[in-house]
Amino acid sequence: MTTYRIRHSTRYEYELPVTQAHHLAHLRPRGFDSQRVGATKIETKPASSHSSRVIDYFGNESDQLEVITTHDAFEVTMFSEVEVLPRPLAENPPADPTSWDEVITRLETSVDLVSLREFCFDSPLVRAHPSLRKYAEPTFAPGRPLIDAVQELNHRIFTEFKYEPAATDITTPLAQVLREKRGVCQDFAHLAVGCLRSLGLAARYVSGYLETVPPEGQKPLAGADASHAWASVLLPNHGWLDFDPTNDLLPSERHITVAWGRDFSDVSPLKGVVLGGGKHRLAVGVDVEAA
Amino acid sequence: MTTAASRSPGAPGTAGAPYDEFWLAPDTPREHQTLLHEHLSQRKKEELEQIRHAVRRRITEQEVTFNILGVPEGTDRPWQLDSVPLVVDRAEWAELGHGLRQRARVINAVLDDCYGAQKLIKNGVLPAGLFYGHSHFLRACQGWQPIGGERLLLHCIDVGRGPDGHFRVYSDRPSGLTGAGYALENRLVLGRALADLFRGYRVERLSGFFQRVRTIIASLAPRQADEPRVVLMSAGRGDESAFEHAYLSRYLGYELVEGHDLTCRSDKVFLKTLTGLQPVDVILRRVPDALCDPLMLREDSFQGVAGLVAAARQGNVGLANPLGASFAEIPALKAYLPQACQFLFNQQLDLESVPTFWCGEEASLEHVLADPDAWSFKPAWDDRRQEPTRTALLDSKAKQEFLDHLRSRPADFIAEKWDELSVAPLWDDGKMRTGPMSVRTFLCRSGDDYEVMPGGLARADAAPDGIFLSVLANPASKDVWVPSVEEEQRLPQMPDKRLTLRRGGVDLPSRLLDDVYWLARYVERANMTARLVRAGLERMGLESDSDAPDARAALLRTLVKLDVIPGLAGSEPPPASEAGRGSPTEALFFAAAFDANRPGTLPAQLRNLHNLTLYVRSRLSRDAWHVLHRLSQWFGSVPVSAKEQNHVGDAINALDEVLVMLAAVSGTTMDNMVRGHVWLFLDMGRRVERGSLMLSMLQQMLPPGTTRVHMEALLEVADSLLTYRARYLSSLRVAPVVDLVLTDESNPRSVAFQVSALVEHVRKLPRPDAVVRSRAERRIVALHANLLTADIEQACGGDGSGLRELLEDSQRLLWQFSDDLSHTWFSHAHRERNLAAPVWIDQDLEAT
Repeated sequence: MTTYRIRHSTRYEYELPVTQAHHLAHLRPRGFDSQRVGATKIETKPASSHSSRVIDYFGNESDQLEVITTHDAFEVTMFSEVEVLPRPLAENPPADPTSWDEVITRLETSVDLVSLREFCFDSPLVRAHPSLRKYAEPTFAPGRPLIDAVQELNHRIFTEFKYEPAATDITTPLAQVLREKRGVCQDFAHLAVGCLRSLGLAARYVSGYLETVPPEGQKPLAGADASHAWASVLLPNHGWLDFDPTNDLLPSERHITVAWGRDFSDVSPLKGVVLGGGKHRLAVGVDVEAA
Repeated sequence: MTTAASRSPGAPGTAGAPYDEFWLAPDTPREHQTLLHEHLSQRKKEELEQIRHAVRRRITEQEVTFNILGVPEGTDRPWQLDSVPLVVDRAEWAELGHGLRQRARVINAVLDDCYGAQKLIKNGVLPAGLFYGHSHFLRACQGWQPIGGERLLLHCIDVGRGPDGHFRVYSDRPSGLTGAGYALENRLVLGRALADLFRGYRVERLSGFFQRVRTIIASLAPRQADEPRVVLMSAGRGDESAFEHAYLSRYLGYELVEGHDLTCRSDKVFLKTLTGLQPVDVILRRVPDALCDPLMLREDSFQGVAGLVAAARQGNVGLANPLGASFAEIPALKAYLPQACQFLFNQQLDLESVPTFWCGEEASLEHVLADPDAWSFKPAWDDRRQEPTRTALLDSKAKQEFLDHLRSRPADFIAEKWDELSVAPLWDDGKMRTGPMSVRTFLCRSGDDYEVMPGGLARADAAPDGIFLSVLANPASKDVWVPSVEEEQRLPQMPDKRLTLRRGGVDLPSRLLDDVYWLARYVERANMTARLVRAGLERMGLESDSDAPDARAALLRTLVKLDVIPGLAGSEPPPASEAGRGSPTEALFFAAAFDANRPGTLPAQLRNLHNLTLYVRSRLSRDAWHVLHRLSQWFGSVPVSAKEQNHVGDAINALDEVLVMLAAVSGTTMDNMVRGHVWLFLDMGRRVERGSLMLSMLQQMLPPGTTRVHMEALLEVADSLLTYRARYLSSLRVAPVVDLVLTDESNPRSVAFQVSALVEHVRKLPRPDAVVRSRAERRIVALHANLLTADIEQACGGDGSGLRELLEDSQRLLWQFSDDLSHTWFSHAHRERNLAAPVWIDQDLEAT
């Protein structure tokens, strides 16, 4: 078990005064069986006139923040303490021979899995496309165990795509990422999700953080010191298996989970609607510190 | 018989032949059509034509319009209403109503399940893809109950009758009674045009249904208030049924608003008004579900209110329909309603849909692909912007392409099989013929059931699927008459409620005041433009004196200054000395008055004016509306000789006419209106524009180089020539002229008169932030003092620089005053915008 202290700040600076703002934040780390969330708080500058915490459709905690004092800049900071437990699925991937095509059949026929089929369909930022399927096909030979195939997909994205921070933003279409073979962690997570869904599998998008300082003797991971994103695939016999194509590994104790959904649009860390403001600049800072 | 009787129908009931709504057998009308048959057969062609023209006239006068989808704003078309009603049999209507009500109950229960326990998919009644595979299932609405608990309060169902005489459903539209306003207007027009026939049938009235609508909407109010504040939230002026939004809001007595008129604070919804934020209890919603909240739903929406989902979720605002109801509109759902009805109610669905298959299920796909030509293919999730595809009508290449596309994304399509629709008589341009019919029906929640509006909006002569769907056609609508058995119709009852006496003080949306302010400014600007052009044209003829060119040049300069006509190269109009027929000067004057294709000209100003009238209509008297309507028709009535052949005499006549109309607008709109805030803002608009125009003209006409002709033209345009002559006889001198039009507070055309009125008005406005004097007030008081204390004799002396300075200062203060008004009282009517979600890894805070 590792305990982390996390600080995540987002600051908007506006060209003109903002007289009213509504923001929606997905910033609080999510508790689940391999993560326990301790004291968490969200602070804003200027202070919000009203705020409410709502559990969203996917079970994530979200905050709605309303600001009605006129301001030139808005800053949101989240502080949290999180205990991350080792994930058995990642530490010892099961030798489950269930093939990916078998999993699809089960998804389509099992009554128990019907509400998880949510993650098989198109979502706002990830649409099934023949080119995604084509990219995945060499890895997904008929009858191949799903767990093997996913790890190979994870490895292929890591080796065949270039991590290039300025190359893309959240509006970059998946097709362009696939064509140019470069992007950042959320592109690779979307790509992995899109490949799996194009085949008919259930896949979701996970947002979170990475440990900043690598343990003795290890290299720092890409995406550290910032928000991170990875993908997850449903293994009907075992639950969800997270995988991180940006780093070619299965997340365990060094990944802190904030939220999951169909894609980035479900769990965007912060978005907002403002009155006034003109152009704006944005700065994000994340500190993740192992206690 | 000259009419419908001359056509022999196909034998009813024969396979394939359409059902005939009118004829039972050749020469024998159906029983409920007897009266209509008499009406049609006893009247001469000329009489029926007269009725058609009366209907047409009323539609035109009322400006009942319909925007065609996908065509830019401003291309709204006149509504089409056939002068023959569709009379339905009372018993058949009752049976249809039974089916409609059951269907609405089923849809309500489906929505409840969809946003609640989701038993329908967990039990395999609905396939998972039907829930998850599109954007009409609003996840933000899952797991909580809207106020009132029901998820479908208002509903529209489009039905058509097949050859077997049975009604079938083509589509479900849970869209807040889209079309009901048109149905109401159809009824008002046709009930009047065919009063005797209407009485003869004792047609069921529609008002009771709308009373029910008011009741159910009022019941959603979260506050225990005597009069809940209800607003009708419109998608805006570009919406295809914008006319209807304004019409229904007027009829139901709800404020017409757009998303940016509302704001959310602490999970409550407020209307932005002149007197501050006022709580909103219920929203009759005509904005598509997904566009209602740019924070929680679609981020690219400009029509919604950030925070609306949270307010509804907290039970602080009622919505009709509640958010998420659009799930019931997905065309694919039709295919599964019978199973859903069986599962949820253990009943058979009485009112069937047309045969529908969702291609997202393999068996369905194979079924329709066995004979694709028999089907109409439509988008599975949203069919409002697209015509169906009939493979039978495609060439083999196009057909193959379509089928390949269908196989690659089958879940995006449904296949429907359409019956041949029933036919009924139409009176079409002087002759009777028959056309296919479909009917939009309207339902409203009532107790634990629904009530059906006794009537509907029939669409003649087109594809069956809803009157609002066709991209290209604007087919005729028909009023639907349901005969009643009651001997005497009771008059609709007014709600039994004691009203508190009130004077003024009604909270008006800020945007409305912004609109009336600009309406008045356009009226005044059009007035001034017409006067300037008229004065110029009057100086065109040979008989005018030798100084005329100077006056013409000054008039043209003023028109350029006002952006009515563009300044030519060097921003000066051409020398006005050459003023014969076809000269550049003449052409410029004509362009200012009659060039409809250029911005800024008189026709363009009148167009802007007219666009504003639609949204302020609810605040205008009927007479004012008529005058404004006639004004909008003026350009069409200008003779070609004036518009195109530059005939000076005819042009002057046309300008005289528009000036009379504008005077009537001022008279009816402004003088007959309660002196409340609407009037104040109208009058302030008029005063600001008039004062500013006078100042511009003074600057162009006065020293240096002022001659008699300049002063004459100035006094003429300022409508002050007679006053001047009465005071000073015919000796024209600069200082007295300037005094009369600039500083004389007794002349209603002078700048000082406008400013003095503005000082009075601005004192009556609510003061923001409780300051002693608002900025606007300080500014206009300063201007007033400047004008009252100016020494005009001295200012006009020397090289005229003193006067120029006074005019420039005054102009600047007046413009600033207008900006102050807008910042102080209209500014919160501005739109919110969405921030981009943070781009993934930007910069580290510490690094910046």
